[in-house]
Amino acid sequence: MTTRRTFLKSCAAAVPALAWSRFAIAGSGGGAPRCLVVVRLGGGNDGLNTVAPIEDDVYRRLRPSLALTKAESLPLSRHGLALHPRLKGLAEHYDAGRLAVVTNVGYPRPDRSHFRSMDIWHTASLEPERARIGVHGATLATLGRETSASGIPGVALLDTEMPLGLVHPDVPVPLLASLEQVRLDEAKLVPLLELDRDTPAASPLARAVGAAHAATRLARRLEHVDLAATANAFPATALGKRLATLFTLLRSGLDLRIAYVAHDGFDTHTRQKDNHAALLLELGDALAAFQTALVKDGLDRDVVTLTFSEFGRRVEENGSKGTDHGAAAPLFVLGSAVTGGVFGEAPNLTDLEDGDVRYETDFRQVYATLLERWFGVDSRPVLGGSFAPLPFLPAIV
Amino acid sequence: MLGDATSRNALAPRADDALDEHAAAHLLRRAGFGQPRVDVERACERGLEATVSTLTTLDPPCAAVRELDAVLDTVAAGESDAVAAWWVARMLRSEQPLREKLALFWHGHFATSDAKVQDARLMATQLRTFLDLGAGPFHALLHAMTRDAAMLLWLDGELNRKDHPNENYAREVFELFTLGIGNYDEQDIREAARALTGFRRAGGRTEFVRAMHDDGTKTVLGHRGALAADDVVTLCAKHPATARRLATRLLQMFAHPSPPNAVIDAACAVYADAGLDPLALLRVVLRSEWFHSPAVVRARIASPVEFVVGHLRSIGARADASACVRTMRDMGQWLLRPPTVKGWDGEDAWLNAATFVARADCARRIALGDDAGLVRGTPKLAAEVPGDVPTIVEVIAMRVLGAPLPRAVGEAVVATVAAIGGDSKAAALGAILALPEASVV
Amino acid sequence: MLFVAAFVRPVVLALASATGESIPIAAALPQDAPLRAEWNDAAGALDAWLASPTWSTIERSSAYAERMKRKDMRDLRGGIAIVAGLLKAPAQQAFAQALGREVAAAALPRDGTDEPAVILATRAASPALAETLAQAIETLAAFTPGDAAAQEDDDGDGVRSTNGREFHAVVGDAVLVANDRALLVESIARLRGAQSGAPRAPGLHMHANVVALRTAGLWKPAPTSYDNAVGALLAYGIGNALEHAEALDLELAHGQRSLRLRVVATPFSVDDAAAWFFPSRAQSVPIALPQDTIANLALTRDYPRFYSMRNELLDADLKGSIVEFDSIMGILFGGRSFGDEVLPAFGDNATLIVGPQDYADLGTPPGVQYPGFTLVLQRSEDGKDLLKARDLLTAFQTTLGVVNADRGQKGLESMLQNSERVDGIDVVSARFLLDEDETGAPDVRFNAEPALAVTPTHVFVSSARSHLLALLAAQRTATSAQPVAEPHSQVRVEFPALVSLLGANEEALVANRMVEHAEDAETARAAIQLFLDLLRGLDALDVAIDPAQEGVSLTAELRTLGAL
Repeated sequence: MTTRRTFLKSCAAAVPALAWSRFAIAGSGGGAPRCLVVVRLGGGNDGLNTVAPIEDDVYRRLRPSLALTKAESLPLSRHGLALHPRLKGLAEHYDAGRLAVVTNVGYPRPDRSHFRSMDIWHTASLEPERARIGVHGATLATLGRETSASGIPGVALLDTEMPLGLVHPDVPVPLLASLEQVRLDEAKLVPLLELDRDTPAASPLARAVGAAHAATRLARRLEHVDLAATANAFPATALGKRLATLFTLLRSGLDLRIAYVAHDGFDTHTRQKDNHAALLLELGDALAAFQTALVKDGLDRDVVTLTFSEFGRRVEENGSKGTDHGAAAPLFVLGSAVTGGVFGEAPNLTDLEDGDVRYETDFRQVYATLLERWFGVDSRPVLGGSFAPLPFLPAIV
Repeated sequence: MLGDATSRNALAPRADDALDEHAAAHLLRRAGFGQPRVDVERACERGLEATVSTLTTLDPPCAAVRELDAVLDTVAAGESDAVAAWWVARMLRSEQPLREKLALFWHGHFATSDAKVQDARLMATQLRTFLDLGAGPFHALLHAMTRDAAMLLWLDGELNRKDHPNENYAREVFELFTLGIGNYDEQDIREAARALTGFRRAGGRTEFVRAMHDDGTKTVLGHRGALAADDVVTLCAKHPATARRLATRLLQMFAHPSPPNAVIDAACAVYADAGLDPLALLRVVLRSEWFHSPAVVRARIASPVEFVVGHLRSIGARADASACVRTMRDMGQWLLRPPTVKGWDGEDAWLNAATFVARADCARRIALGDDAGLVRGTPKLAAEVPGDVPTIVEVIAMRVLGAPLPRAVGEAVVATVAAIGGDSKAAALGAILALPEASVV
Repeated sequence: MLFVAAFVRPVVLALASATGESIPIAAALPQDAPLRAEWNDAAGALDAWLASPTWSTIERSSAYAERMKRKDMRDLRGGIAIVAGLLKAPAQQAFAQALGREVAAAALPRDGTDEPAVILATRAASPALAETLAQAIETLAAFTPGDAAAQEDDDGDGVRSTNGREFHAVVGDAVLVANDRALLVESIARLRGAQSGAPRAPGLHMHANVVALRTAGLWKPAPTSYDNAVGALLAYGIGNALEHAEALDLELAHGQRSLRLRVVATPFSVDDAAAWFFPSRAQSVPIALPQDTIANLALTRDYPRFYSMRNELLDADLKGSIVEFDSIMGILFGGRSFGDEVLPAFGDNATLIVGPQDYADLGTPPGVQYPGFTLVLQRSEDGKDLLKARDLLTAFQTTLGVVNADRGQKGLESMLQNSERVDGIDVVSARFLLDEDETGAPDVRFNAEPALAVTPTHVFVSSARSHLLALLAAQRTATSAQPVAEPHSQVRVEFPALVSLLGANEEALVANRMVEHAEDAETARAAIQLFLDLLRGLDALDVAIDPAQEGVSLTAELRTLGAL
């Protein structure tokens, strides 16, 4: 008997009869659902030259050609830390109290393989054999597919492969490379697809009608977005364009809960200085434009942006004026709901782990903070353990 | 426990053998893809029993399919998308679409992705197995999957060695492929993984290496001994929970996403009695009163494959199968690349604002014909549609949906056709295929 | 109108004389028109085409029959039949009579409208046929909207009109049609006043006054940045030269076995930003090509300068990829700067050669056969210090290591490295290993056997070791060692070699067509055969860009094996 009951239960779970209700609440107004934007800095971003310990002699000694000088960099409030000069856009949001800098984020026994370490960040699990379920996908599954009236709770703004972080069997999310994917080729269909049907709310037809309505609602709202003005407000870089697209979608009322964007190329083994500077300039300007646009349109309290990289880089520069794979590094959390400031200490360069910065904050604490304090859900089932939230977001009371 | 007689009553045959156009279309949509005009007419002529018998009797494939079969190896020398396109071409041309639909069912069940396998030939071999064994008893299929090279790579079977067992495949066999959660414990998985050791890929095949196999004593599902892979396959295949799980999934694919318990009980009995032969089960289901009841008609959301292949078959169009694969991908179903081992969630998960736009865009491409790069040549439907716009709309709706449109919707389609302008047949077809009604099957 | 016109006989001028000299019809055109074109002996070209084996291959094919059944083709043929009917002759003859001798056209801006004034003049086969043609124009014009009241008959100035929107005239054996009355009147006068001259060269000639087009806003500026590096390397300087050009001339002519297109932009001038595209060209010994070479592409550019300007020349959204590329190159070349220390090690000429692979080592060739691609770079004199052979060979090894590590992490097979000396030249390569118990054709991966060789003068980087070895052998046995001027940009495609490669892939092409065209095996095979038959009629295609003091030109010549 037990067998049978359990079985029926799993069938019921497989057939979410109530999921239609997400369409019923669509467009009913009220507060926009909260959205997390995840920006991947693929390749291993050099944390020490992103948030630099400019007053540390060890830093200058170990990086004769790469160390930033105090004069050029943008000082943070404490610890003798300063932002890379090309992150000027972010520095302005830091000054406005919208940027949290979490230092020395990592995990025990750091893995220096791009592939493995990225998997660890994506699955929030140190176990290599864990099922291929992404932490963001699991977050969406916890929130439930009905959390988004459009049926698109999550999205990867990429044109290549779905990042593992967003993979979850219960919540498929699309790759959205451009706005064309949510815009009808034949705009004259919109009135036809807006028709209502006299059919029971839980019927498959009602659900199809709901999806049609979600599509036309988005189409109508997209019509009112000044795409040229939006494009002008963002840098014409790849990241700038992707964030402009994301902003347009949010502006159009697409109720995304998690959006994933990539800014890769940080594997700076050789001749790092100019290349890293160019990457950070693109990052800082695009994020700053995104945040400014959100503020301007009053969406800023509903969106936070998290940057992450699979690892930081070795403290000591290599013989090619570059840096090799490292371990713990700082990350950014940006948003008007964020408590700005530096969270954590400056990296201790006299106590290294195999030449790398030791982690002080477990990356899963960052996820826990977002799960508990941004999405208001229990982080333990998602993370498979209990991790203390950090104060860069206020606790939900 | 329910009595046998009671449970089978839930799938009692329909009293009336006569098929009208609507019932025939429903039967064809479910047992295959779409509702080609000529098949609907033939079904109406011959009645329910004869039609079900034909649909579920899989003779050697027709000439068009045999021709395609002959080029599979050549196609598989390329990318997995080419293999997917080959399969779609087969679906479009097959005179026995149930074989293709069952293969699609098993592809979703043993969901293996070329994203990890990265070898089109292995994906083609697995697909071939679904086509060859998918309409037969489950035991043989599970036996073949346990030795399938693509599956071996997909679920790390190669890493499952005597001294370093990898439980990935064993876990999915229990959880997804056979019994389902709640019918086994972790100990069963650990021991089964040991029994499954010893397989290794050799070119396009799998070989068994005795030295890599753990021949010690294991206990799986209460059976103890020096169990090997075949023992695990047999234990899992004959477990009652497997029959129930698979019968339910077959009902979900072919009839209703949440079948009533009595129907599941009945289906399970039929399926188990037939040695887990899906054709035996479908013969009973497709003939049943329940299957033809209003609750089951149009109770499913069409998967992207059903949407594209079904509509193309309904209008009698030839098509670029590679373009079909891409448009299905845009709708969320990338053949031979399912997102996880769980396959596609289906039903509600198919539809969101972006995938609906992809469906409407696909509808438009089908309607635009040759110029939109999806359809090749002139569909049969185009030659058969007469007269003024309201008549065109009425006839097309009947042909592609198998049911008339509600009046308000029909009128709105007529207005849309006027707004779009140009060829009114194309505009009407594009508008009707974009309707939510066209996404329900 | 038609009825009236038939009775109003225009003055017949003897434009054609018995000596073979005639008044060129182009004399009617305004010489300052920003756009002028003439097409001489189109009938000859059409006759040659319709008599060619290529055309008969097409005409006999089922694909052609299928295509002709399509609505657009039916409409087109219907239109041709109507015109032919009006000219009272079969289609081919009607064309020859109406447009087959000399046609000239010009377009020029008109005040107060976006629509340019256009004049078209043609020499019919005889004055009588000219009149028939004029009547056909009148019949057709009657179907177009216009002001019937504006209808006009020849009242001495020769101008006739059906609707006040088109104006036409018959002058001897010439027929002139314009959309502007004044333009037609002037053109008639020019034609009547013109001197006769020698027959014009057959073919199509077009001339554009770029300055005037630019002023009229009809000239689209060339892009200043490109979305990919190959596009920029192929086209940037051409776009820039066109920005500076004052005139553009195009000629299309056919010979017995060739079709030749030549476009010249004059004068030749570019911005400093495009100077890298036109480096001064040295003399060098050309690379000897193996017999069965399918294609080659040679580009002479100042690559280091191009690379130093990459951020300006390429779109902003490529910045991230550029940085990534630069970093990867740094890793592969042991920390050297790709722009400052790697690229300057090479000369300005880079040649990509495409040729068949030899699969003897594999036993069975792969199910799908790709050609080998080999990039040949010159080693500059300074470059040998910058980058020694050893540096290049080890860069290959590093690359392979990185690729293998990446594949290994994804659970894919690694490639095995091989190093050999061939006639004193180091060759490094990498290949996939066949499984011992592999049966049947190897899969598509086995087309890749990347290889690199460094000779004292050149570096060879190839996708296929066998192709690289064939090239090395060709250099050894090369007879001519005369340095010649490096081509600026040159492409050559050898069709017999291409057909041979495609023929080896026929089964794959047929299978693909069965899937993508929903055709049965027989139809698909026929379509592929037709395609191959068409290619079999071709010999070679040459395309070249040549910057010269007087103008920068692009020449394309297609040669056929049989008569064209």
